[in-house]
Amino acid sequence: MALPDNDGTDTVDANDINSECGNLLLVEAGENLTAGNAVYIHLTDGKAYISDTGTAADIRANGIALATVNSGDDVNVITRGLYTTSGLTGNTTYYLGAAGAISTTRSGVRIGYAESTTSLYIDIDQDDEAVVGTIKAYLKDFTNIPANNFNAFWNECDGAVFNDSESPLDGQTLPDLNGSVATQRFLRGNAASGGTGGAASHSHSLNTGSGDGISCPPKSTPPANTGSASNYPKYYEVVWIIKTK
Amino acid sequence: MADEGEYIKATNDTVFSSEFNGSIGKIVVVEAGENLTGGNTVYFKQSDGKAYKSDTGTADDIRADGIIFNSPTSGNDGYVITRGLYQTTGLTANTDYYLGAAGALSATPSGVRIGHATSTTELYLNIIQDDKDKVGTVKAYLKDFTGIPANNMTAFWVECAGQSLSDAESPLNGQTIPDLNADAGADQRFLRGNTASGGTGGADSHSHGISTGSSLGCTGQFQPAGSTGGASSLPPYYEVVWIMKVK
Repeated sequence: MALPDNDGTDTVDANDINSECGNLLLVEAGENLTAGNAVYIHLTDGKAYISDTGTAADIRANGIALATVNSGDDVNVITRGLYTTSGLTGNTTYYLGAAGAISTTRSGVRIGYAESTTSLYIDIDQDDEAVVGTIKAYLKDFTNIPANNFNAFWNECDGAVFNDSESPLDGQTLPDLNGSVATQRFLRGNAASGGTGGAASHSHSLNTGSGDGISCPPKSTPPANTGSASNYPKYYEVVWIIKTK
Repeated sequence: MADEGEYIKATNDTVFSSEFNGSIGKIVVVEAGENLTGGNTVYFKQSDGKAYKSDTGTADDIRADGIIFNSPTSGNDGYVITRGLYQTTGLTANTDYYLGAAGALSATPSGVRIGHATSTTELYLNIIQDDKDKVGTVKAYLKDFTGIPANNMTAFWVECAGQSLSDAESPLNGQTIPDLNADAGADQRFLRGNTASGGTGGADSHSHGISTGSSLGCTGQFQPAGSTGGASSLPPYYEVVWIMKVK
């Protein structure tokens, strides 16, 4: 049967029961949507918008829109289970692509698995579970990390003012953990977060020993301090990123 | 005959289109571990498999598996919807709902997102909470960053404070959690890779011994001796709270 069944008279068949029941979300469109668009639900206004790898804040998804609607109209979004369409490659995993499309090219949002050329089993997998305020290491520049891999829920710890009305951290300056040499930070535990310290290098004072009373040439006066040396333990550079919403 | 939105359905009951589109297949029948009230957000305890009331007021109750339809007393079966359409009243449309106190839903963000209200009477359940990492994961948390929601840390994580873990649901029950966050001195830890975990080492400061060079015929008053003064070993750092996944 076609979904949604809103007249109470359609026949429920095996496909419906096995894969589609309970996965439809009826939600207001925040912009014009086209049937087949991958969409996400905006956390602030609760409306559906087109997912898009072309815009950092749009790299996320909650489902696929089943109808073409104008902004302000309601649309059914299938969030999980069997989605019937056309033009798929069977036995292939699909990811979010540009402008609401799904793509076999990897990105940061896995949409589902194509069982055949017409059946996509939606099971969205994206990095959105960690609590806000989680910091983790990311190998942003490792060879073959997919393009558009970094989804809308995370931000680099770049010391910049963070503007995002969906985030409880909106308007604040994020910690600068990845910046210039002075702010390339190691993470250290404490019972409270946010303190800073340490230095890239250090030197030592020298103790003057006792002598036996025999004068030495003036140039034998030792320096007050040693030369400078690094404080760095062995390290591997990562990009620290923070969960912001 | 069960009414629209009323569960559990019996054989030959009518299935309504709203139920078909939104709710079917998402309901778990589970024994109540305490008295529960219809509309309570509940979680399933990992050690006894029963349903308990979720609650931001108690650290171990900051988690959710669904919303209960009926009001079973302890020991009786409850019907819990875990995902999809839940019909209720008094919601604010187009709003995300989070776990609140004592089983309630709240529009105030907490560590457990319950779902999305599409109207004043319909909540689309899609619980998102920080429960996917494997036990033993350690990660950094900005506990004190301004704007971090209250009740943000779920029951699945503890701070690495050197405490004894008392939690029957955890395979780490009874063990001492690593002390990575101590307030002062030696136990504020950086993390370092190894093929096996748990080793410790390093120090916050150090000094160097001084080798005395060969004599030039006098033993000067100014010849350095013994060791240098101490200096910090700490590289530039930012303080985080290390937390560990325990169940």
